[in-house]
Amino acid sequence: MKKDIRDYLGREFLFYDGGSGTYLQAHGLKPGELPEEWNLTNREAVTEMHESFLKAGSHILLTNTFGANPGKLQNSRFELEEIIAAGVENAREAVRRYQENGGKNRPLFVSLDIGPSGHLMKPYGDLGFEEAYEWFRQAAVCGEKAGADLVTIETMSDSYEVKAALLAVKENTSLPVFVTMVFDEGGRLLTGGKIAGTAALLEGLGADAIGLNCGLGPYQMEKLLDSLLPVTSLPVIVNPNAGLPRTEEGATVYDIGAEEFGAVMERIGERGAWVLGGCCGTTADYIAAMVRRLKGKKPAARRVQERTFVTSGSQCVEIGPDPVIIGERINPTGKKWLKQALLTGDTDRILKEALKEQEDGAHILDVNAGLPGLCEADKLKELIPALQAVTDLPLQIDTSDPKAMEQAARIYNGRPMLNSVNGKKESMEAVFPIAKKYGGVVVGLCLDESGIPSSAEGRLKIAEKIIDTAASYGIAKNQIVIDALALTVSTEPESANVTLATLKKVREELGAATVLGVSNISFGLPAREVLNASFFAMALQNGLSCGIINPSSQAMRDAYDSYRALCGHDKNCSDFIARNAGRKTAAAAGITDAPAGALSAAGRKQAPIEGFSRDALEEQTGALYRAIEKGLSGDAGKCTKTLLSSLSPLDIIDGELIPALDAVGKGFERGTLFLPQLLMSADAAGAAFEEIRAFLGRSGQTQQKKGTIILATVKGDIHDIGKNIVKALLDNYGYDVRDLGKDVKPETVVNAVRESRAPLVGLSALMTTTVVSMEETIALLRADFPEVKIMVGGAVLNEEYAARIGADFYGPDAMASVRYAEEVFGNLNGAVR
Amino acid sequence: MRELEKNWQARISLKEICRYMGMKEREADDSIRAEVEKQLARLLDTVRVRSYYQIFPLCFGENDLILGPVRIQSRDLRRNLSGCDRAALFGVTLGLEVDRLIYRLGRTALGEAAITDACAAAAVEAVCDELCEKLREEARRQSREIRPRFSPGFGDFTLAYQPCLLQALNLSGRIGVCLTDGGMMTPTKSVTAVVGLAQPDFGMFRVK
Repeated sequence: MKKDIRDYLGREFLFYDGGSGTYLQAHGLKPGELPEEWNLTNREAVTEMHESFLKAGSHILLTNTFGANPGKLQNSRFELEEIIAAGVENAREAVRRYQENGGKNRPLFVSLDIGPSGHLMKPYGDLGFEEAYEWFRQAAVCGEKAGADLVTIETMSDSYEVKAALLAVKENTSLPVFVTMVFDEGGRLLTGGKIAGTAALLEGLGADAIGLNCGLGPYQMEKLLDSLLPVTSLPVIVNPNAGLPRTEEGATVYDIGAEEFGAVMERIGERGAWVLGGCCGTTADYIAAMVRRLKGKKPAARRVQERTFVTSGSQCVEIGPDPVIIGERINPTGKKWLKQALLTGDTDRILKEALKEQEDGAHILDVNAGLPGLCEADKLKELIPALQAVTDLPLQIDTSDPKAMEQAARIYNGRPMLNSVNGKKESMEAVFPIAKKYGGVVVGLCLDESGIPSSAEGRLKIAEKIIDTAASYGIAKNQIVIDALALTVSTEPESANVTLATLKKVREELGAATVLGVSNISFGLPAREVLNASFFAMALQNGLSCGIINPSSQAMRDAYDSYRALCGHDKNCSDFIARNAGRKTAAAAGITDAPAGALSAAGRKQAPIEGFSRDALEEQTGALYRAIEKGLSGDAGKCTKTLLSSLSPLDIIDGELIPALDAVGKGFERGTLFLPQLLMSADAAGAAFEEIRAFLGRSGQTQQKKGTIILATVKGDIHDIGKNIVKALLDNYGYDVRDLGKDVKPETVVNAVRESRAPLVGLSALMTTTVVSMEETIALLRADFPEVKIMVGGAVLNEEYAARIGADFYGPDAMASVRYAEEVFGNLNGAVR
Repeated sequence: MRELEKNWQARISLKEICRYMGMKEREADDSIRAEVEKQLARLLDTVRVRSYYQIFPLCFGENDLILGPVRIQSRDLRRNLSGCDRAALFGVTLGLEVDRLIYRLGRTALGEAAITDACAAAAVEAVCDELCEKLREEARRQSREIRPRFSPGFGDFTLAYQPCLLQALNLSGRIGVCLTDGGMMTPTKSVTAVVGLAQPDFGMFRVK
């Protein structure tokens, strides 16, 4: 039977090999040559390299396949499969030779080596999640077929990419998998993730051992060990470089010698790392020195405190003693604007709401896209990457559809919260496999086949059942957060008491974390915020770990801040002071200063504006014009809100908005105003339109649009600020703009035209290399839709160039595209009339 | 390259920022200046500058030049490097966080996004200037002076060289700079360049 490396972890130190680059270069690897091709062209050199590490005492050989992926091999004369097969075979041959020559009797392993793709992941780079997965899948499958004993995913610096790699290996092979990542001295990945969050992600996804490699020398990694060891229960790997690099005569050299390396690695081993090796610059001498130092010693026992982490690509939130705020706003239940935004695909609206929640202090955002008539899985798959592109807060995937939950958890960057499972057999059977596979932290609702128990004891029993059943799936208690369920007190007077008692019991008797949808408590009652805030404080006092609340509510915020200050979670009350310094409470400000009547019986409602005098109205209209002209978004929104109480939306648009925009646009065209001013005005007009849309939405109307325009940044191009500017201006001028985003394939543009029948398409490209895709897109459009007008823009284009690639119009700036749209639609409308 | 981290910020010029916004410095009124200041402050809080360089021996072939591991055909670069026997190859980036910031602003506040974008373009130039200053000192120690930096995309030194330059320095591993299939650097606020180290008395064009 094959040896399983997992059986040896912690029983003895296991040693990786050292760096291969230095060795292969010394043996003639030319710059620019793919080292992986040597598996076939210089087998002997590769095999000898492996053998040198075995002689030094390594247990694990990494195959020479670091860059063996379809991307890096696209210009190779060899196939991925042959390179990997030869890589595994060379390492095996080294093992054979070593053992035949009387090599020591110790377990030896050949590990398939998987390095990073060499591309940055979307949306900031051009490699999609599924494409990355496919690259890694191919490598892993070839490695297992060739007979590797395990897979090592190494030198990773992006949590999203490593997720793709780890899933690919886990889903397509049965091999053990070790993962090491590159952190800087501050303990951060190049993409921003920190150690605790990355460890939680990898552990959640089922890595067998995790650790650090490359980037740093042993001294720096020794320091990082303090952050890593306490946050993971997995065996820890440390594979440093031979110190920090410097260049001498064009060559990279490292600043630590073999003996010094061995000495630091000995300390690292004594402190709790179980698997040790070297990366760049470490030769067989380095490995030998380390092995000698640790000879006869046993790995240190580890004590790990179980903690709960929810993560995004760069942030990590701990659900522990200090309570956490989960923003509740992205949930269409009872929100007309969100329903509308989900149905029309107005993602930007939703992103703005998410950013507002973040600004208001949410730590995690709940995301729910459940609407009748909408495919929840598709919607979440669209919404989650869009949200993660603008906010670094971890997300809570909120759906009762297991299929949607699985697909969303898969493409999520990080370790998500999953909302939710309940005590029903069917629910647990559907949700726990998802939580196990993707490492999600699951919300467990205290209800089951028999409904919601009316007693705390009954709810506790269900919580216990959920935790026990989760354990049978290999899901630990620290991966479960129990929802004690808040039900409205308006119909059930004991409801709040039962919920509070449940919270206390779950925390004290089960030692599990807790969560509540706090606002449910006041359903059907007036002044809900008042009740919610009091209940929130009571719940926190009874052991609530996370509250799903509206973070923008001042009352809720106050309850939270006060609780933390009063209960010792806010050291020296510093957060409380920071939030409230200079704040005037009603008493301090002196209520008498308020205008008479403002706090009269009508109380919480705003004073009616009907009695507005003509002068005041004029003042407001002038104010809106000025706010847009000056680019003051806040003022523009406020003015519009006021004006809407006496003027029709159309009057405001035609009378104020468009004239102001026109004035600024003309100034821009004349050269008296500049891009920043044009855009600040566009933002201010956007804020005004937002108010108008909200106003129309309340009465079930929508804004009349002038016509549809498709916009895209072409394939291969990821600069999109120019396109976004054009979009904002066209939006403001009343066009229905369908923005296909950046790096858009030609077929996608054609399909969008087919579907929307848009008479005008705008394409943007910033580089000479991507103008080629622009030309392709135009050709494809012309073939199917010769009547469609195409305008182009971008830094490398000019009028002549644009004509040469077949565009109808070249827009040197954003205003030009507005003028061209006016011309195109003006002609069209004229023709219709 | 820790010593880079502070000094470069002082090199960011309003003139450059305005140029990237399509205007002249004198055309920037007080409100624009204030807005630029605000966006620049946030940008500087966000950047994580990373840079890496290596000095390679340089030799000239019949109609190409060989810079360490890279062979380049470019008359303009040849002219820039004439008189040099070695050259530095460098890569710098403001980091992925800047792309994230601009992306987020592009969806919420376009004016701020455009100003931040211009600030970032000026900032990455400032980082390059600072790095070149460091190279000048390094060159002095080697009794040499430096030539103006020359990046792929200048003259006939095409972007097609970007992949080998990135690979020669292992920029993806060292500072996280990758290339898209379209040949674009990510993170987008990144620069690669060649800086020649010339022996002193070669007077073809002397740089201040």
